[in-house]
Amino acid sequence: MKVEICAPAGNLPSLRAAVDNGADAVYMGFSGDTNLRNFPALNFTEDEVSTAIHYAHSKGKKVFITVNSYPQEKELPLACEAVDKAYSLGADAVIASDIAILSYIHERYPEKRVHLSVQASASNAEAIKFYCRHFGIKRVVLPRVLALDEIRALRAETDVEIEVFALGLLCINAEGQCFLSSYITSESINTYGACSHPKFIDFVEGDEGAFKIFSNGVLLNQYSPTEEAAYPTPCKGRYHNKATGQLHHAIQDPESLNVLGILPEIIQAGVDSIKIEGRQRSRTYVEQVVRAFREAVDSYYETGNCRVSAEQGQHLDSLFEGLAPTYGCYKGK
Amino acid sequence: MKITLGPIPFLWEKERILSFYKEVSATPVSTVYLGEVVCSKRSVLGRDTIEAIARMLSDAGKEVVVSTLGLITHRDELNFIESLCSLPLNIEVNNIGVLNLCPDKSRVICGPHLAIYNAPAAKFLAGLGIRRIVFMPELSQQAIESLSLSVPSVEKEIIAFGNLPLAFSWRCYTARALNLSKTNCAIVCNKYPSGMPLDTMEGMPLFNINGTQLMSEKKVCMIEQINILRSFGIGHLRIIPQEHHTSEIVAIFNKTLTGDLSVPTALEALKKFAPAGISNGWFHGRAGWEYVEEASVKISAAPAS
Repeated sequence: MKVEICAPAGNLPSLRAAVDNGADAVYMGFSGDTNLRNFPALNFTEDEVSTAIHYAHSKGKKVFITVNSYPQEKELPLACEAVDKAYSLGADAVIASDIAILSYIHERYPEKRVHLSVQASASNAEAIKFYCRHFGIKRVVLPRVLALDEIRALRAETDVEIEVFALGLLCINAEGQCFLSSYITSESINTYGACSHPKFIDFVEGDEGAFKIFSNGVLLNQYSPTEEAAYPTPCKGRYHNKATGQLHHAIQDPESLNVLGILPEIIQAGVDSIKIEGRQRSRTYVEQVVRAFREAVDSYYETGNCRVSAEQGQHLDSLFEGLAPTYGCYKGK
Repeated sequence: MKITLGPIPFLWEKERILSFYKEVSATPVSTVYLGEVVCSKRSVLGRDTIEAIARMLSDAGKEVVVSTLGLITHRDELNFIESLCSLPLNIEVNNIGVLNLCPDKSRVICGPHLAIYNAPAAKFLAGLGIRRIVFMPELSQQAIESLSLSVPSVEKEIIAFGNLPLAFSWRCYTARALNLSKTNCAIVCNKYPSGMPLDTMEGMPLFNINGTQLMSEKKVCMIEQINILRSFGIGHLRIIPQEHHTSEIVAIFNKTLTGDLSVPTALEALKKFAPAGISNGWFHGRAGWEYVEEASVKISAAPAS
């Protein structure tokens, strides 16, 4: 069986674009705090989820619903309600990370499919085993902290389906274990579902086109008029290292993940699904990236290679303005 | 309330570690957490050395806990941790997979790196029979209260002073600063026993690079919240070891608990050990780096007249 292409959708047009261009599965979330792309004007109402699932199922494709924030007490009922709605509307799986939600699903819907979200950061065989034993997960979305040889070793140790990230914005820190944005702004990616939420960001113009970017009053970066600015998450800020005297991107260069160049190795590592990041992106983005990955995957199964033209590769990279493409740590740390 | 000493976050030379714990044995801490949480390449303390230090501390009347890695990506790391679990000591679990390796859950302390945000999650762990939970640093007062009250039979601990853990990565940030890869890092982090401070471009102390971990450069300080934490049933206050003055910090907390030092005096004394500043913002539902004075909390909480 071919590796699954799991595509993002932040609205109905994107969902249709994903399905029509060759995604095998689409993941999406309800509007609000229950999922990790909690941005304004993004995500689905109940009616839209229903429409989306009908459309995807009519084309033989799957829909996974993310309920992958870590709700605090008062938000728990809302998260459980999202789980209820997802399954009752016919979602093929719910993607979750919080122990309370996983417990709820396991007790209430033992026959339903649940995937362990990347936010649970299950990066080793024992962690995966723990979530299988207690919550019956059928799939783990691996955190972006594993090299390919580590993924191959995991594959040998577990029967659970493995999903890995293939394209998009790149968390450099272990997912679910990064509190940089929360430390700066008070709102945690884990609890509120957005890293560096736009409401905290201020652009302050300086002389002749130079500008500074603040998050909750903390300076993250300062650009000259000729520099391209990436979305200001704390990990992509520029800082003074007082031990070495450097002023640089101390945590991460502005870069984004693109594994198109090593797709055969990813598939050969034994993964079941490759995930494309970008629920916050446009319909055009979804259409283009899904089409490129569909061609590459099909080409791999036909020829053993992923024939992707240089133009197409460059075109994909151009979708990530200001960010250089990287393989993350797949090829080594 | 008891004072605990968290695991040493930074990589120190073995000699320094040994003399540090000798000093610690004479302090009024009740519990000492030993071992490496950040990076498995920092194998300065093997199982035998950990056992020897543990014996010395136990003889001094301390509860000894072996802390284990937060981020685990290799079977080798799991095997090493499993060998630590066979020591007759309590185990701090910082990665959920390690729970599988500890058959006797009454020896398990769930460390600050497990994502426990709500009462059902805490109750789930309590149901496995664990001994203690160390709360994640980003929890607010409200969350700490509801979590604490939901698991009365489990011991509760919070980080009361020191650099806060903020992130783990596959990347070694210390190696990156020195233009090395993680694979060929030569364990250079041992040259930075207090980490590498990162300031914003405006000079605000923000983060601290500690190998594959990012910490806060400001130090959390919960001395003003002792009474309220006690009222929630929190029995353990954790001090994070620092390159200098750890014993003095412990002494200040101890004198405050015994009533020999007033909170305002203690606070002023602790500030001297946090040159980049102190913080308590997360407790107050604000940004982690912020510091909210107790006086202003009282004023804003007072009913309008």
